[in-house]
Amino acid sequence: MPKSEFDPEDPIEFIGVQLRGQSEAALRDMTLCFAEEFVREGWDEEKIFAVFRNPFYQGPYLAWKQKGDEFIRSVIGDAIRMWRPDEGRI
Amino acid sequence: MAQVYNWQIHRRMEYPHAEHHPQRQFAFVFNLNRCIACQTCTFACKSTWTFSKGQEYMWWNNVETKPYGGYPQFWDVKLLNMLEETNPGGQKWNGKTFEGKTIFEAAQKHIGEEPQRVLGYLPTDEEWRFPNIYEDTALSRKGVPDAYDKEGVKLPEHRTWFFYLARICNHCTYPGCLAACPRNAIYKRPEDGVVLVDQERCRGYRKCMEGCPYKKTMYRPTTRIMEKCIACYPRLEGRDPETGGRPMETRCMVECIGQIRLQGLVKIGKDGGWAEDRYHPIYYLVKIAKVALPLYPQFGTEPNGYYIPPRWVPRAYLKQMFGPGVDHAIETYMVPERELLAVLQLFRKTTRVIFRYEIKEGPKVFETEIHGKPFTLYNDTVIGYDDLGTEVIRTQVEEPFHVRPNIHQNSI
Repeated sequence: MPKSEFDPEDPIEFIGVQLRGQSEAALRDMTLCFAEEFVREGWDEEKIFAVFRNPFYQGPYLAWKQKGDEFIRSVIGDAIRMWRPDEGRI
Repeated sequence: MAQVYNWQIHRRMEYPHAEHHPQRQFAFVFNLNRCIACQTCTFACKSTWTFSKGQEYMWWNNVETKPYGGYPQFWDVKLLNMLEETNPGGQKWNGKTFEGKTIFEAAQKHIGEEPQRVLGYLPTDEEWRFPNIYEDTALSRKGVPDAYDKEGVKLPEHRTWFFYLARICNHCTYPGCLAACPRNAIYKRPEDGVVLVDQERCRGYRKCMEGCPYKKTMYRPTTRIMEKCIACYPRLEGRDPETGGRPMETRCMVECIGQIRLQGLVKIGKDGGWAEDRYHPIYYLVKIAKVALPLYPQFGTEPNGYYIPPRWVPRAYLKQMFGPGVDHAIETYMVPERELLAVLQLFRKTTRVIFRYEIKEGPKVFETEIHGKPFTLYNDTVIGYDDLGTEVIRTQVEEPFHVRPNIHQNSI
């Protein structure tokens, strides 16, 4: 049966347990990776932002929920600047 | 035990059968940076092969949330624990060489109720529940089994990194299932290396389920024999009328909407390793760019599924899962070279198996810096050819982006 109580000492039972390795840098890198993948696919900023706001996309959504609009837009902006630089386009 | 060479652990190892290799090998690359766990692959497989009585719990293809989920639950953690117990502190890599014990070597040291040819365990019925239980699977209310909670249930929300791991049978070069079968009912096809269960010979002892480290053979209680992923071999043989007799990718590959999958048939040389085939996309990704890595190579089965590792995940975790090539793979993927960028465009662009690609150089689009490194984007054209050398796909690095207008959303 599903459990509602979790044992953080149980090495097998990962569900609901906070893992080591959480950091701002890792969260930003995860966000940037999602943004870069979609920028490379040709999506624009608004479409990518909508992915982060959609709870059915759990990865992007967890980043938005923790960091909010401004952070997500800034990371998407970084991805766009990297992969769609207006300057330097020949 | 015979001695065989396993290139993924860079050494010879013990295996219960002598070395034999197919002419070609079914192999695939999954890009985990792109998987969104839509489970379309899972259902494509389910609706094709495992929709009958006795197959209810079978998901030959599954996508699990790592490190939380697993199908069956804890499959990798349990086996890693068993290996560590058998060889405490010794499961280590020295450069490219794995100096610990594979599941075949560790079985000889394992002390259990019965001797094993392959170190493994049988998952419980509970562990086989659902492809991604507690992650994508809604829970019933506590104390009320077999009923959905009418007020809705809440799936866990992770506060930290995770990624989705899509899995099918790896059609290993040295399969654990084949080694463990006491009736020699499992075999590798000489033409494509697909691992199959001979259902006439199988008696359902489940030794293969115990011996497969990836837990990809499954017991069917209605027939009392084992079943597993067959790599959609009728499609691989070109028996689907759509391709006019030419090899076609599996159902799970073709349906991938995230475009994370590419499948191929690589040439096997006389020495049993991959023969050089420079412009084969899978050969390029695995052997030249080295951007795709095997899943748990230390198990020793030489799996033929390869993964582009998710770049945001802590490296120690990734190295345990994909071996020592992780740093190189991620650096290569983050700032892709010109050829890699073009080959990545082949993922999910055709239903045909691509045997060779060609790149026609295109104009320079821009120069910039990607992750602090100089980068130039060229709009090259990449062309894929089938086994007869016929062109099956042609696309560009800068693909046009089309949005279907609202009035046509349901017009297919």
